[in-house]
Order: sequence, then structure tokens, then C-alpha cells
Amino acid sequence: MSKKRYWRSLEELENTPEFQSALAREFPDDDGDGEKTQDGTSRRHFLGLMGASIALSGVTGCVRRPVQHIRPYSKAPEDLVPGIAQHYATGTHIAGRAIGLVVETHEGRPTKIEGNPDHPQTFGGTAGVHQAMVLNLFDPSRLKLPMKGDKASSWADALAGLKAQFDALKANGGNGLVVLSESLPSPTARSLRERFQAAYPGAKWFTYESIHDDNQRAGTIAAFGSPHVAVHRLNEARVVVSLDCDFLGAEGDVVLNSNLWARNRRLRSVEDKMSRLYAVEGVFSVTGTNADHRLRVKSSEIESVVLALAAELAKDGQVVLPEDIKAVAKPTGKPAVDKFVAALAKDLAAQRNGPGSLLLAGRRQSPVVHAVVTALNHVLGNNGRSVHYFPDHRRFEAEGGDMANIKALTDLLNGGAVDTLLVLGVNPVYTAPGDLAFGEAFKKAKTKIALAEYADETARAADWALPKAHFLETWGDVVGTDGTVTIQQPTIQPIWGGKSELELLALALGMAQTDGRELVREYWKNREGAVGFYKKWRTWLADGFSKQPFFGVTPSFKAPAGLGSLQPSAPVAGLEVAFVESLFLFDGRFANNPWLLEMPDPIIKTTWDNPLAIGFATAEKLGLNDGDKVSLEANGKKLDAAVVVVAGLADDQVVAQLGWGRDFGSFLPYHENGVVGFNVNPVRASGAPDRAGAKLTATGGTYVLARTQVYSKQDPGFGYPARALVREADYDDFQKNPKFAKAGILEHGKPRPKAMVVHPPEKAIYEEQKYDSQYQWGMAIDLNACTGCGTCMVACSAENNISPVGKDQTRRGREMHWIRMDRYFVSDEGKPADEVQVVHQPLGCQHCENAPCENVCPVAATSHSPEGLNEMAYNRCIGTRYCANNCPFKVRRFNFYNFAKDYPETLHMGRNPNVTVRFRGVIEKCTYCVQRINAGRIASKKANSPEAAKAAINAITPACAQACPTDAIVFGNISDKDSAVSKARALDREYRLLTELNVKPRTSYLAKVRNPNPELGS
Amino acid sequence: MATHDSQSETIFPPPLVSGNPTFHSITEAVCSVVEAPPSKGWIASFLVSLMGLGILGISVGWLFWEGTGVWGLNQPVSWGLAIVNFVFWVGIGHAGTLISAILFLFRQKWRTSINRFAEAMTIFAVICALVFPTIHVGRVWLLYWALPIPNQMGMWPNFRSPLLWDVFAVSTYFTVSLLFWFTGLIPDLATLRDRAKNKIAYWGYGLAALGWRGANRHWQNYEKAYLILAGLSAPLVLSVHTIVSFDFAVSVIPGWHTTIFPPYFVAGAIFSGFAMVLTLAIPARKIFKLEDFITVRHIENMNKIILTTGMMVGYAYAMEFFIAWYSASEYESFTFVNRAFGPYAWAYWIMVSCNVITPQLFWSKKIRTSMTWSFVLSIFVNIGMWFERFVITMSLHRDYLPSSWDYYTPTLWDFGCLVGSFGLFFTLFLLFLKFLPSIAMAEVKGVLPQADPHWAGYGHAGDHAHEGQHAHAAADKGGHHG
Repeated sequence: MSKKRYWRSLEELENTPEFQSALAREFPDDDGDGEKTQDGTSRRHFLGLMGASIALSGVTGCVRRPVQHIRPYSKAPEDLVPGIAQHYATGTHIAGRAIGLVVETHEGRPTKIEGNPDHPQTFGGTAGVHQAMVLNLFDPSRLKLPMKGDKASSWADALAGLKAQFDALKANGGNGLVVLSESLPSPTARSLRERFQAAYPGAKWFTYESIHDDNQRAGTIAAFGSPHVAVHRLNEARVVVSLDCDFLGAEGDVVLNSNLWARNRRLRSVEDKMSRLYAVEGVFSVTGTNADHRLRVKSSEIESVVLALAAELAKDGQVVLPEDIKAVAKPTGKPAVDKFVAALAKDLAAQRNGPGSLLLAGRRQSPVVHAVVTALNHVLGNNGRSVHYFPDHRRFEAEGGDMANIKALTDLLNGGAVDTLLVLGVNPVYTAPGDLAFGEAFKKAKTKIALAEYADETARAADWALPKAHFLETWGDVVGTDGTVTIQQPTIQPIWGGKSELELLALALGMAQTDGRELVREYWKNREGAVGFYKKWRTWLADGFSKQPFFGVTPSFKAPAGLGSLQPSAPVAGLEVAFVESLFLFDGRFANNPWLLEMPDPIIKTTWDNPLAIGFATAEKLGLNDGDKVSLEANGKKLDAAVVVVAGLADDQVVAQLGWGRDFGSFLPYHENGVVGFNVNPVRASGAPDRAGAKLTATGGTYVLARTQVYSKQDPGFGYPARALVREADYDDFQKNPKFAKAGILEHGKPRPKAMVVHPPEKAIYEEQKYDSQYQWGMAIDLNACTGCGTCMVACSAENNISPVGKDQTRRGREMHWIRMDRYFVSDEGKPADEVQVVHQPLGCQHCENAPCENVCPVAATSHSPEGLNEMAYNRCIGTRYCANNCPFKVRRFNFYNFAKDYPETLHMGRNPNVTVRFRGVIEKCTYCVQRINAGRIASKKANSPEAAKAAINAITPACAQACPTDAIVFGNISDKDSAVSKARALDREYRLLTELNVKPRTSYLAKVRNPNPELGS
Repeated sequence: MATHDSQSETIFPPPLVSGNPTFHSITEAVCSVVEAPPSKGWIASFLVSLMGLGILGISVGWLFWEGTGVWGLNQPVSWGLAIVNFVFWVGIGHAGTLISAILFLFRQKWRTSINRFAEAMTIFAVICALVFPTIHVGRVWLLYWALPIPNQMGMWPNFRSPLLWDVFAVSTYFTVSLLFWFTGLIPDLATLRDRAKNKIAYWGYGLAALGWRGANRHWQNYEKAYLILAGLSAPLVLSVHTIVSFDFAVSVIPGWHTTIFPPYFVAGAIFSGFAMVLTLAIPARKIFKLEDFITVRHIENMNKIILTTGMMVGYAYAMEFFIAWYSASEYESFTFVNRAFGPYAWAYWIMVSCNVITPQLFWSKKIRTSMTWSFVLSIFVNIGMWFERFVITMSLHRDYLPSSWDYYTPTLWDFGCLVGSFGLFFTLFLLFLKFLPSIAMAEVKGVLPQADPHWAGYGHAGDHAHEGQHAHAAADKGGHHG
């Protein structure tokens, strides 16, 4: 009988080996090669995976990431919202010239310096150097600890040593104590100095600036009996005469001068009058490039031109000059110069009872020039109108001039009469003229104490080098030349624990109170009276300055006396070298600032160098070529340098820039041999620090220069007409044809010989954007107001974290400036190559509506915003550089290396947190400061009234426009007909570049108008 | 019969293959190069090429490590030697497919002994070309963003960019050329497999031969596939360089923005491609004793094409100047005057001399049938065509705003990449010569008289008019299955 089988599954019925083994196992999921968990992973597999994960996590651990902490404020400062910038009013001075500033800080770190718009000597603009000073704050090569000799010490030791030293000096009445300070326009410093001289009656105090004001000082002593400083009101002058005075570039109150000068150049309509600027100079200065007429005369011959002008003006008894001036005033005897002088005199005389004129005497011109100019200004009715002669309060009246001071100090040192030398913030070992051999003399002082920002030439030679605090780290006060008191308010604790000059003086005096803030406040409290002082002080801090003029600073309106004991000097015969301050490094104090080092010279366009400049005729005469290595012989000393040949200089004129060639411990990663440029101080003489007879001989070989602009003309060559990039006309032509710039086919107001064929309007290949959103951004740049000073470029670098790239990379054409300053020479046919005019054109991204860069990017990294911005997504960019090629303006910049990463770490602290730092391999370019636009838009959205919302939009200002001392750049919403930019775009002079390409730029230019004297021709 | 003979010489062109080979002798001649141990000459050349490849490796390594700054590029000239080399190699990559596909479609039977060669050259040239757009970007590690790969960012590439068109054009061209080449190789690979004496060769060639057995069915499929691929390749020959020319033509830069570029680039590409084929073929036929396959007739034909395309290129140069003047665009005409007389005039005149003047010597039959002359002139054309791309790219150095004008000087690393790309090319080419049949055996056999089933040598087709022509080639030496 068949046996019945009961079965549960087919497998059981078949009784396969698999089934047998499955029965034996505890967990039925297993496939036989080990135990399995429920989700199908075996235990072994699981352990294997875990082991691998741990091992691999160990591998990832090989990349060491720095430990980072994000710490909240345990006590949040009042008004501080993380992520929102705070602004503090402050101020500083350079060689006694004050500037009122507003500093942007992010979470306690100052990142951007801007002009104080309310400040009467600033009007919201700055110069390039002011913009760059924030970088000095974070400079990693700053002196961090007091140094005893070359050993690092501590503040405790240094203060103990200082105390012992000064106690001993106090005991002997301060005999043998000498203080050498920079120009200190600080009332608090002045009062401390008075106390100092009371406490140390035997002590001597010398003030010294290498970029000296001796000539003006001597000239005004002759005129007024005491040193005065000329404060100019250029808006009050219809005819301005610069006698070797770079008032728009490097000399005096540049920001104030530029702003007021531009007010007479705006030309909002044909009815507007325009000032006329004459420049007489041997060097080619920023001012000279803006002149309507420029007379090229060697620096030493300008005195004769001034005397000829005096003679011409006094000729028919038009003006009455002091007798001693009349006695020496005579024509030059050179027909070209006398013709110029005659026309100039006529023009000046015509303004006498009219709109006013102004003569400015250059810092480097002789005291005679200053005395004569003072007299001429007075008799032309300018004194009290376009010029105010304020007493020079930057130093004590009894003191001598800068050069006399440094010479006297050297003599004291050489005589062994100096026991203790306290150097406050100056660097005489570097800056002192070579004939003094100051470095040797310096060693003869027994104890040398230097307060210095860097381990510079002087600090290294001192027994004690004490770190000086940056102006953004300490309290102070500054008086402007016109008497405005600016309060210097710090924005950060001293990063390296430095002390200010005020604090060091207080320490030297053994005062109980040595805190900078208290010193300044005490002083003003004593002056203003304790009643209501706190409120007043708060107002000053908020405003940044005191609206009351400083005591004793009132201008002199009395008639200048004449020449006094001054004697006219004979011009230098033959080749002459002029020693000029560097526009960006000044006397060398900014020699470690890569933003400034990378600034192209406004005319030569060299960066990271100060070659000796000579004109074409001079070069031909001497047989020198551009870039030749030469030996300069002056004042019996020799200097190895290089020459650059540039148009516009006077014949036989060599221009040597001071402030370069410093050898000190610099962080700059781009140095080839640690020295940037040539130090020309050794060939300078203290007796005649401004010029000397010179000899130039080629020494063989060529020096490599890094220029940012290689081709200098708008005329492309091969007989092609000049390109209509900077469009200009004479004032008369502008009157006749105010819309001359629109045609785009004019050249200096005259029709071009060969006009481009006009064809029907071009069409874009892709559908054009509608641009119908509420805000449409645009910019207008007034070429008539732009002086070419380059401040916008520094401001842009500061705002947008732009990396400097160094000399070698600049030479290779890889500078990163988002806005550049194009400079073109303009010359009339038949005139010598040296006889040129210059036009400047600031050029950033034009934000074309049909931007050629956008459609060519394969990854869509650059695209257009509905508000008309040409935007760049750095993170998306893969670096094909196609956009850079296809940009007709060539404004796109490529990170050829990881420039930003190679930047020293402390400098990272100064970066703008609202702007991405770009990395290697991506393109960057001007964004119209999109971070500021967004901030403005947010402010506008938060505003509680339509007016406030509109005001917030109108307040949007890109960094370049903000910094511009002449307000040449305006920005705003072009869809709002009332905005400043819309009004500028509606002006007759408005034009846009390369419209023939149908790119539709959003940046407009306002054409340049020159105002030549018809008697002299254009 | 004498008159008949002289007539036949004029009616029937000289034989495509000389030396009266048989099917077997062809197999022997081609396969022996592959099967014999490498010659000393090959080893020496290979080592030199490897050195070149090493230079490429070092140059690219340094470039990746340091950044694009190691090249001489600057602000107006953002494209330099890398793009010049790219266009140069892409141009060279044209002749292969042209010879294979277009001549195939036009039934130009003389192509058979050079097409394998030329196709290989195409593949390797395109590989060399592809190196450059890859390495020239600032952030190589993100290059894949230029490919249309779906991603979490939801970002597509910019389809308006000619660079993206390049990606498509060149990759399509490369893929199709590779397939075309490979398809043509299959029967020959099978031959090598069948002759293989060691396991590695057997398996290697066997895998690559895809089971080819020479069956009638195989031949049918093969012929169809080959025809289809030839049909696909033919328009690509025109499209690739057209699109490469768009990189320039779509821009706004004077000297780039011209409608003449597509035909001008294609003509130039064919010109340079044929020159490169000559540069490679003339020494190769000598060294590998392939004179019977690559005959004087082949060389002469190619020289004729070089002469023709050279004149087309010359015409384009002239027409560019004419249009620059005729357009009345100051920028455009300035650019051309500047090309001929500006800072890069030296490059322009090298280009004109090598591309327009020297090829005129090919009017002389003596010169175009001389191996030495042909070789030397082909080198001139290679140089000239490289300079053509250099001259075009350098239009950047002086465009609209004179303030930006500058001069580009390549650095050692720029040249390293150029020299290195030749290293890469020759390394690949020598490997090809050693390991693959450099002459399409199956195709060459197809143009032999023996391939005709009615050939007199088989003794069963005596009615042929020109039966006597190859009668001395004995049937027992040849055969259908050589």
C-alpha cells in the first residue's frame, strides 16, 4: 500500500539537498554562505563594511582641516547685527594734510575706508592712498613687538627701559634729548609737546617731512612775516594757473582741490561756464594732464616764467605789485614762453573784477615763486576769495623748515651732542637726502628710540624700536589746513599692541594718563569746558569733525609784503633732475602696500617701479631708449636706475620719484630681490632737495618694466583714424554743437577724415531682454570731471577683494583691476612728440545689454540680471576665458594663479565679507558693486515710506563713485527719470562706447570739453 | 592588338597596386610588419615619441599644479597656443575621414591602400586635439560641467555657446570616426587572429575581430555597416570644422567675426589633413616597404588635392582682405592690415609662404611625383597651417580699445604642450603601425584584378576585354581566401 506523504512545500516534496541544509539552519533567509541579517546583509559583510568605513574615514582624516570655532558674542555690542556693516567717522593726515573719513567695519574689523561726505575738506571723496591705508593696518610685516636691537622684547621691558631713560633725562633737564617727529597737525600733540618742552627744557624738537613744505613756508614768511599755508577754493576761480603745482594729484589738500575744481567743469548745459586751467611744469603731473594749456618748461625755469607773468601784469599798471617784485620781474626773452605769458596775463587780468582767478605755486618751486604768487593772488583779488592763507599750525612757528631741521639734527648728531634720540613716526635713515649721510650720523646718538610701524631702515638702526599703532587703532585729532578739527576715532584694538605718538609722548612725560582716548578727550574737555562737553564730544564723534574752526586759525587777508630777503635764483643749466613725491607711495611710507604698488602711474602706466622719466627729445639727445639701464649723477653722487621715455616732459628734464627702493622686511610675495624700484634719496641734497643738475649715462642692458598699457594712442596706426573712445571738443565747438559726442565720428570736435559707414541698426541674434523690472542700473562717467588720479581703482580693489598680482604678472598683462584708467596721448600733427595732451578714461565692465560675453560661455557662468547687470557666477566658471576674448572692452580678468590664496593671512581680516574671494581659474570683473546694490534694495524694501524707499535706492553708490574726489562717476536707477544717473544720461555730452557693435552699454560717458584760450589756439 | 594596348593605357589608369601581388603576398606584406619583432628603427622612433609624450605629461602636470599662468596668456590674448593646437589637430583629423568616407562614397578605389592609415591618423589627431580644450580651461576638475549631464543643480550647459557646439561636434566626429575605423578593421583583425602564433595575440585579435569568419552574411552586414558609417561620416567632415570655426566666427572680435570661416576652415582642414597623411605615408611606405601599395599615383593624387585646397585657402586669405576693405568697417580692415604689417606680420608671412606660395610647385608633375619634394612640401604645409591658426587666434592682440593691446609670447610650457602633443600622436601612431594592419588588406584585395570572379587568371572568364593585362599573375599564387 502506498505510503502517504504529507508535505508543506514543493521543496520538501522534492527533498533537494538545498532543502535539507535549509532545515538544519536556524535562520531561513540564509543562502548558505554564512548568516544573513533580515535585510539581506550578512554579518561578515556588515563587519567588512564597517571596517572599510572606519579605514576610509581614517583616509579622509589625512586632509587636516584647521579647527574653526564660531563664537557668538557673549555680550552683544549695542547696535551690532552680525552681517551688517557699521560705519565710524574718523580721520587722519598725510604729512599734515587732513582727511575726514568714514570707516566700514564688519564685526569689529575695518574693511573699507571712505571719504566723509559731510567733512568740509573731503566732500566724501578720498585720494588713492587713503583708500589703501586699511591694508597697512593688516600688513603682516608690521612691527609686532618692541625690538631691543634686533631682539624681540616686550612692552613691559620697553616701558621700564623708557622710564629709566626719561627719568634720567628729566633729572638733567632734558639736555641731550632730541625728538624728531613727523608733521603733527594734532592739537593734543601740540599741547603734549608744550608740556614736553616744559618738562625737558634742554630738549630739542625737530619736525621733518621728506616731502617738505619749506618753499611755501619761506615764501609766505616773506609775504606775511610768518609761515602760512594756502588753502584753495578752486570753485571760485574761472582761470586757474598751476605753476608746477600738482593740486589734482599729489600736492596739498588734493581731495578738496579736486572736488572744487571739478565744480567748474561739469557743463550741465551749454549755458554753463567752464574754468580754464593753465599748467606750467617740467614734469608731467596729473594736473598737467587736465590742463587746457600746458607750457613745458624745466622745473628750475618756472621761476622766470612767474617773474615774466608778474612783469606782464604790472606792465600797464594794471596791478600794483610790491616794489621788490617789480624790480626783478622781467620777460624771459623766449618768444614762445612770452607769448604764453602775455595771453595768460590778459586772461588773468580779465578775471580780476569778474569771476576770479587763482594761481597755485608748486611745493617744489622756489620761495620766490611762492612770494610772487602770493602777491599776484592778492592783487588779482583772489586772496580771501579763491585762496585763503591760513597760518601753518602743523609745527611751532619758531621751528625751521623740514630740510633745515634734518640738517640741524644731523649736525647735532655729528657733534656728539645727542644723548637720546626719539624718532616719532618718521624714517629719516631712508628719507634723508644723501648729502647728510644721516644713517651714519644716526649711529652717533647714544640711545635711539624709534616709534615705527615697520622694522624700517630707522627702526632697525635704533636701540629700541617700538611698534606704532595704525590710525585706525588709536585715538587722535587732526586739524585741517583751514582749521577744521577732525577726530581720529579707532575702529579696532591695536592688533599688535602698538602705541600712538600721543601715548608715547605721555609715557615719556611720565603722565598718569597714557590712554590715547583719555588724552584726546582731556585736552578737548579742558579747551571746551566740562559743561556739556560729553554731548559735544558725542556729536563730534558721530560727525567725525568739529564744526567750529580751530583756535588761532584764521586766514590772513593782509597785503603780502614782497620778496623780503629772497633772491631769484638762476635756472639749472643743461640736464636737470626733479625729485617728486610718488603719487601712491608718497615719501615711501606706503612702500609695502601692494594695492598702491600695483597702481599704474597715471601717465607712464608703469607699476611696481619708479624709472627715471625723460622726454623724447631728451632721450634722443642722450641716445637713450625706453627701458635702458642708466647711471644718474647728481649732487656728486651716482645712482643706478633705468629710464622710461614718455611724452609731455620738458626738454632736459629728468623726473625721479621719491619713495621707492626701500629694503625692509616686506611680506610682499612678489618681490624678486626684496627691493621695489630705485631709491633716489641718496642723490638728493638737503640744500636743494627739489632739483639738481644731472648727468645720465647708459650703463648697458635693458630693465624690465611692467606697464599696464602698452599702446598709448586712440589712433590705431596704419593711417586709420583715431577711434572715438574719448570724445572731446573745445568749449567753442561745444557751444556750437552741444551734441557733438553723439555722432561718434568727431575727433577733437572736428569731423573725421574718414567716417565709418553708417548702416541700418544692427539686430541682436538672440531675442533681447525686455528690461522691464523696477530698477535698471546704469552709470555715467564725466570725462570732464575725471582727473585720472586713479582713486577709483584703489577703491575698487579695497571693496571687491581684488588681488594684487605683482610686477612679473603685471608685466605679463595679468593685472586684476576691475576698473582701469585708460590713458591716451593726443598730439597735433606737425608738433614734436613731447608736445601732447592727455585724456583719461576710467573703464570697467560696461554692463552691455547685449553682452557678447554671455552667449559664448559654455557653462552659463555669466548671465544677465533682469535689472540689467552683467553677472558673473564665480562658482560656475570653469575658466574657458571665451568671455574675456569676446569682450570688446577687454575688462574681464582671469585668475591665472591662485592669487587670493597666496595672500598673507592677516590681510584676509581686511577683506569685504560681502564679496566672494575668487580662486584660481575663474574670470572676474566689475559688478557695479552688486553687494551694495543688494544692500540698497533691502534697505529700500524695509523703508516705511515711498520717499525713504527711493532715497535708499538713490543712496546706492559703487566704490569707485564713492571714492571719486570729483564725483565724476554717478550711478543709479536709469528707469527713474529723476535719478542722478538719468539726468547725467540726458545731458548733451552723453555717449556710449562701441555702439556700432549693438552691445548697448549701460555705462555712459560724458564727453570731454577743453577750454583753450583762443589767443593761444588749441 | 598594339593599338588596343595603347588605348587601354589611356582608358584604364595605371594599376592601383603595383608589383603584381597576390592575395597571399598582400597578407604577408601587411601582417609581417605586425608579426615580426619590432625593428630597431621602430624602437628608436617609439622611444623618441615616448619622450615627447613625457614632455606632454610634465607640461600638463605643471599646468595643473600651478595654473594657467604658466602659459604666456595675458589680458587681451586669453587664448593662445592651446587653442591654436586644438584647431590644428582637428584640422589634421579631417583627411582620414575624408579619404575613407567621401572617397569611398565616390568609389575612388585608389583610397584603399591609404585609408587605414589616414583613419588612424584622424583618430589620433582628434585625441591630440581633445587634449587642448581639456587642459586649457582654468578649472579642469569641473570640465564636465560643459557636458549635458543631468545634475542636482538643475543646470544645463549654455546651448548658445560655440564651445558647447564644439563639444558635440568633436565628440560626435570622434565617435563616428572610431567606429568607422574599427568596422573597417574587423576583417583584417580576423586575418591576424587566424595567423596568430601566441595566445595573447590570438585572444586579443580574436576579441577585437568580434567572431568574424568571413562568411558571406558577415560580408553583407559589413558592407552595409561600412556604407552607413561612410554616409554618416561624410557630413561630419564638413560639420566639425565648420563648428570649430564658429568658435571664432560667432564672436565680435574683428578678424574672427566673418562668414567666410566655415568653408575656409574646412578647406584648410582638408589641406592640412592631406599634408599630414603625406608626411606620415612617405616615410612609412619606405620603412615598411609598402611602395607597392602606396604608389606614386597615390602620392600624386594627394598632391593634387593639396594644390587645390591650398589655392582655396589662398583665395580665402585674399577674400578676407577684400571683404575687410569692402565692409568699410574700420576695425575689420585695420585688423587685416595689422595682420600683414603689425607685430605678428612674421607669422602672417610664414603662413602665406607655406600655404599659398610653396604648394604652387605641385603644378610641376616632376615635383608632385617626387617623394622628396612631396615630403618637404607637406612639412611646409603643416607649418603653414599651424601658423594660420596662430594668426587667426592672435587677432585678439589688437581689437577695439587700443588701451588693451598687448603682445602674446608663448612660454616654454606652451611649447611643451605643442611638442608633447606630437609625442602623443606619434606614440599612438607607432603603436598602431606595430600592432594593427596599417593597410586595409581586405579592401586592397578587393581592388586587385583577382577580386574579379571573372578574372582571366582563373581561366573561366576569357571574354574580358583586358584579360591579358594581368594574365601573368598566376592563379595558384592568389585565391579567394588569401
